[in-house]
Amino acid sequence: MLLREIQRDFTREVFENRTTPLADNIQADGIEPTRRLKIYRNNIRTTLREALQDVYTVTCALVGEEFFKFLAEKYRIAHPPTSGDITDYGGHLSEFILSIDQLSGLKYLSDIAKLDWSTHLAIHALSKTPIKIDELAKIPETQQTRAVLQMHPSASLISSEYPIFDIWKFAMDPDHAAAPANVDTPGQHVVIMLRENQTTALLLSDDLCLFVDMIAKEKTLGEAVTQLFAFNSNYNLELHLSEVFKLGLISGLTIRDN
Amino acid sequence: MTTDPIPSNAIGIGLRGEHYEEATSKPHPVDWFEVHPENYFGLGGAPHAYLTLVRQDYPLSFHGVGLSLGSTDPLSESHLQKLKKLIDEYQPSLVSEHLSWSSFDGVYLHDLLPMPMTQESASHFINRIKQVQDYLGRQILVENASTYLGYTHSEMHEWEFINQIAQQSDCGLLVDVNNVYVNACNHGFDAAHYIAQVESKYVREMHLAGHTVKQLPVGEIRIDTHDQRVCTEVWELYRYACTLFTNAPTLIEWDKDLPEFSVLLDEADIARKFIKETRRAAA
Repeated sequence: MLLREIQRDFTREVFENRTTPLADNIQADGIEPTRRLKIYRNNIRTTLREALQDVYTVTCALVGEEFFKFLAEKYRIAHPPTSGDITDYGGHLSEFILSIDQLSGLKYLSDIAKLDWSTHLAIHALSKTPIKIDELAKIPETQQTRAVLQMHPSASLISSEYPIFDIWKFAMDPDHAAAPANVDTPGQHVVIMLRENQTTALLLSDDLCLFVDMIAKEKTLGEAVTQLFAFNSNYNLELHLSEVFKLGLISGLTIRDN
Repeated sequence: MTTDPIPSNAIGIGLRGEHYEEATSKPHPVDWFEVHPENYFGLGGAPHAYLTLVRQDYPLSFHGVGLSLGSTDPLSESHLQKLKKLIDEYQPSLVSEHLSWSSFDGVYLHDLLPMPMTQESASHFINRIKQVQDYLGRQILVENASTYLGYTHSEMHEWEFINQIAQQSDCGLLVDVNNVYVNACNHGFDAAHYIAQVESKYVREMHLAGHTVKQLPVGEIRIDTHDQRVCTEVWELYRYACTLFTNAPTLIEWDKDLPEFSVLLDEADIARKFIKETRRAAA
């Protein structure tokens, strides 16, 4: 067998659970070739499941380890790893959860998985020191409407129809000292980001979320103001502008050309 | 920051995230640290913050697990780019990978899978190692992998296989003493004979780790689990390896069920005693 054929059949045997002629090319030496292949099959499944579990700690806590095993196995087949860096594995789980019938009752779970994945991304994101609002004041007034605030590289905004911040806090607390979240209460908006090398979840108000969403979409301040006031003519821009800097959400600013 | 060679009597520890705090909180009797470069392919955050601290005080080596050297897929350009960037940033003294494959048709299995010991495989490795070394602009070391199966059409012994690869690709060898022992038990050869047959001039690093004996209905097989202390038989084999591989620093690896950092220091201390003992006897 050529090397390419061995690797093709090996992958089919251990990853796709298909039978191939490979066993005929494996030395038995007292242990059946199929048994030897099974060791690799189990190792691979365990490695990938544990990698997923390490990232999706809160998702796993909510569905329980046994169900998570089932979910991880389904996910492995649907979304095989495509990188030699295992930290890249698992980025599609939040969408995948929506296709699992048994999870249709946990409508918030997909958004919780987004929080888990955002936490994972934040851990490895570029380290940058947030800037202060004074930096904005240094820009000539005539240019301020063209200013684009840069969201901190570790920050992700997850806006949900469900109270994901409360569910997240409850599930992360091993003693469940906090009151269980009522999933019928209004949706919540959460920013996950790195602060002093620790991941943090920040709860945003509806109004602040609108502004952070504009920043995430790289709108200029002028564009953001137009859209925010169209949404709410009494929008308190000063307050929320100050807030995004205070939270450390802004790590730079640029002036967009006309 | 120095990229001087790691001394041959140096003992290092494989650094994992769970030990970042402990490893950087105070000086330790350890000569160098080894990390999996893939864990630092991200752009920042705590992994880089801690690695920077470690690098200020200790020499470093990068031990890759994701390049899939033996795969018949093309080498991943993006993986190599990230590796090279990291090497430029941290200037490790050693860079190593495994004599195994882990991907086919773009799917990565994330295990160190066995290659047949054929001329085709050896030539494939030689070609790929040269490509990697050219890309990185430096020599790499390649490690003998633990295997749980062998192929009927293998044409040579593992030690012949790795000697040929080192000789024809100008790479160095990282001899994992535990893997030699695991393979000797799993495939029925003499581990000491393997060590004796490896050309010592190529050996630039040794690894030590614990493994698990798995009982099967038809016998037992040893699995390279890196989840416990080095066993007595592997220490004995290491004692012998120290007499031959005199240019190779030693690393203690532990990847699963991580114990307190002090346990790794204790394993390093045992290795240090073996090194002193064998080098004194040779003097």
